[in-house]
Amino acid sequence: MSTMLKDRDVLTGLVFILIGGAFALGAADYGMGTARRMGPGYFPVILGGLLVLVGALIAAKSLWRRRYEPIPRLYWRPVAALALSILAFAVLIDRLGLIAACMACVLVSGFATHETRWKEIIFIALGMTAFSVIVFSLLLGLPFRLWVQL
Amino acid sequence: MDLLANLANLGHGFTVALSWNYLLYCLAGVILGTFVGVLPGLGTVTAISMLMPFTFGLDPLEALIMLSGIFYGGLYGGSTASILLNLPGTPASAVVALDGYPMAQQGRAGVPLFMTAIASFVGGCTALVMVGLAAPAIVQIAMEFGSAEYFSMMLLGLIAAAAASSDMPLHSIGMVIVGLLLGMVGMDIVSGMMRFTFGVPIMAEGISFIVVAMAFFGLAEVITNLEPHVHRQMVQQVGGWRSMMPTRDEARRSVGAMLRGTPLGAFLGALPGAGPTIASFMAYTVEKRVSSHPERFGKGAIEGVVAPEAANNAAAQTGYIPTLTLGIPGDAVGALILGTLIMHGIAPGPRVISSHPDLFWGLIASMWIGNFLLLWVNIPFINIWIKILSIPYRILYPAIMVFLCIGVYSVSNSAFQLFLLAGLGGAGYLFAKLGCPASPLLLGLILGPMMEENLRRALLIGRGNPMVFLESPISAGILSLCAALLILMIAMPIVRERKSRNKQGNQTE
Repeated sequence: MSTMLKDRDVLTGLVFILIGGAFALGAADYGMGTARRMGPGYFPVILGGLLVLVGALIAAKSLWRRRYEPIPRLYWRPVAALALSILAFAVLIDRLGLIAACMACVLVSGFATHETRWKEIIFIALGMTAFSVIVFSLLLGLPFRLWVQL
Repeated sequence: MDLLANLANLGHGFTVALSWNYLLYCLAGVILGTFVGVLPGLGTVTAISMLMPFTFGLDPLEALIMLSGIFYGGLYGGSTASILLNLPGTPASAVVALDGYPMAQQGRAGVPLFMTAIASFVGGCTALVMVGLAAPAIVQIAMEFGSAEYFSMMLLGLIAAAAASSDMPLHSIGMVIVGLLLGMVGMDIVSGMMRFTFGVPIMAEGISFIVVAMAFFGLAEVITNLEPHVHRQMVQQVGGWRSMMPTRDEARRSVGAMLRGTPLGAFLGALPGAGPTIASFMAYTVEKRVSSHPERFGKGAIEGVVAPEAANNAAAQTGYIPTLTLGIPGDAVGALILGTLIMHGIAPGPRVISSHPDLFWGLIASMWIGNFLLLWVNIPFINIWIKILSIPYRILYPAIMVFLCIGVYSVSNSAFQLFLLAGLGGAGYLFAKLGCPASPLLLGLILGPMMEENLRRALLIGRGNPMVFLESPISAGILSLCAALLILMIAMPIVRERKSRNKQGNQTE
């Protein structure tokens, strides 16, 4: 049972079935209309249904063969650290401005791998912040607030 | 007659592309492209999508010239990384490593580096002539297209892209549909109804393809590269001009390889779905077949470097044909170029060439110039590029993160897009682990709204009868191609499995 659930194709099938099902169910509320005058729900429902079908086929093929191939290992450390680094940027850019957001983004991203040398990261943070301020804000004139007083 | 008119147009294109601002953007694009191509773990799709937000302020031709420069510059830079590190910077240059890397190990890295530059130039420039000749002809056919034909054509593009991007056809078809569904997010143009927006006002515009491209190609790539088992080697330096010269025998063999690789790549590139990657693989296979010494391949045969490189650059250029004439991109880069057109308010389709002649001919001329600039950016400065190649990834990736964040934020100056980036990036990593390719998703996302629109219109005209797609001969023809391709996609793995099973059976007997 557990090897079956860890199988790459069974998982892919499940993911497709979930996505397709969610879209199809959601779209069914939007009004189907007829083939001649399609409502906003028509095309998404068809697509969602197709995706469920494709997912079912993928999973069925693998279950029928009974040759399970587990998915390659997922590494959560880089996923979590990089997601946090993006979130840090997102939270800070509107509240404290570009300088703080850039610094935070680089520093948090340092947690993504054990190869990080923290002295280096501090220099990268300073360098990238200076680079971003000069290139994006001053040269390209993108509308960033550099620093916001609390 | 037509030929003369096209030549005149091309001449006009050169007068446009040679003005200093376009030259500057072309040079910037080519240098940036080589830079990201050389850097391990930063693909051209990522680079183009990362820089796209910063081209919103430019005029459309400036933006297209620069982004295209990044594309073919990146292909070239990718080969450099492939030859020196056996670590392809882009998937299209993976094949070049097969024979380029052994040559580098023999201390002759200069030769394949020099020859790829020449092959890229020859392949790219020849293919551009074909674009200039073929595009106007295709436009004349496409002018007759109605909604039914467009819908069928897009379907063919999507199926072909799915067939091309993975050996697991169902997985790629699934990703196409996921992309199409993501394309449904936002306001429905006909009824004005909000679909799948969850009450977030910014979602009314739909999910930006730039954010998706950066998540699935950029962020997911960075995460994969940070997996602890990924290791990188160091590279040696390349000597001066003399060490780059091929032997007379190699030069002779390269000419034939270029002459075979270029038309093959140009043909494959123009087909929907088959991009530079496939072209380079096919060219390698062909070279091995026609060679009288196939045993040399994999040990440093110059043909194995030159033919794929000519093919992938030729394919890169002819890939613009479906994008610019039909508005149907063949691969992820084509999708981004199409997206750029739309962002700058140019409706894609057969009228692009006639209503924006400066844009089309200027772009073609600039790619000629760009291919020429590429020679001068690369060969004399090869040792600088090698230095860049050896930047450790732990220094590189925080910088990439800053670019990703600033790029995504600039799409609409909203932090919401960044949350989307984080979420989709995680999803992209998971999909990659499941063996689901990302480019069909990107194509689906961009084509989704257009497909729905044409489907609706075609069925409205056909009074709800799906026969409308079979009544037009063009549409019926395209649809039968779709069916044939689907059957082929499903049959191929089965046949292959039978074969391998038979082989195993024979071995055990």
